Amino acid sequence: MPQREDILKELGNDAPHLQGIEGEGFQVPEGYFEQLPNLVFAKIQAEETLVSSAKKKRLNALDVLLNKLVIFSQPRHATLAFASLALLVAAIFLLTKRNTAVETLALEDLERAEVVQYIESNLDEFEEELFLVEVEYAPKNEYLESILEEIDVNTLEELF
Amino acid sequence: MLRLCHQSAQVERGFRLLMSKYQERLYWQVRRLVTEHEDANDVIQNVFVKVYRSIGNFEGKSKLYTWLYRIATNEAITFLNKKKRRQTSSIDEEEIDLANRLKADHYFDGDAAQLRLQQALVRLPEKQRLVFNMRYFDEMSYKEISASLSTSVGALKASYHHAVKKVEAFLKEE
Repeated sequence: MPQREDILKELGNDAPHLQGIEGEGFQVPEGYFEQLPNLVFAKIQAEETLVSSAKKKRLNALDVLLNKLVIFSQPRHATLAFASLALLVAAIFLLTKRNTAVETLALEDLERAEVVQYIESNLDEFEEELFLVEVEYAPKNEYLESILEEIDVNTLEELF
Repeated sequence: MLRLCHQSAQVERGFRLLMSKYQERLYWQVRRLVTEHEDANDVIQNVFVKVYRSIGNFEGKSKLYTWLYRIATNEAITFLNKKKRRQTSSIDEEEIDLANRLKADHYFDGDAAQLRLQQALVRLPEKQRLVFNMRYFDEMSYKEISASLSTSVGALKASYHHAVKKVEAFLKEE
């Protein structure tokens, strides 16, 4: 450890103002360092008490919960609990089913363009028969057919 | 002392020995960083509570004092940063504030020059302030400071030189 003179010597003539200041002016209360270990141990004790009481509270809460659950081991309460559980499962099932119905209705509301787009992009997944049925029911253009019948074959040849 | 701290039945005895050996040195290090006694008292108590909780894990890879010094410095810097976040003042305001607080502090009886020195120190960057305190006030060798701050001796010398120049320039201003 260097001596005070070495520290001051190191400063040379660079810091005359700093070298002129003696001490820092800090004080501590009387007997502070004698008391400090007791203050620290009191703090450690207080923290440990706090932690153990928090742990105790958590354990108490768990005890209360377990005591409540023990009630269900009695036959009468067990039946009630089973009935409540069955009701809950039924309610969940019904609600889920209702949600599916809502989704089906929503599909029907889709725009024709969206449906066409879906079919085009998933064409491979549809069976051919579906399209054949569609063609069968397609309306015939009778007007075009009557014109074709009226056209003379010779007239067509002249045109080309 | 360390052996006692590692024996569950003797921890308190060992820890009291440890405190009596290092508490003053650590207190002054903290005090020089936080300046007021009330703050230093809070910080040093937290430091020793932390040391008490982790002394069992101290493997002795570094010197005990170096390890304690690091904990104390980190705790003091954390305290200062929290305080800074609460007050969003400029360095000039901070300097005036420090002067007012020191004047009101029962445990500061410094003269005008000593007060001015504290104002100069508060303006230093954190690392320079640490190096200055360790060298100028604690009279530590560069080797010891190097072990505590994990910085090369060359870098520490440069840091100390810059800090001295800044402090001197500030003291010269008046």
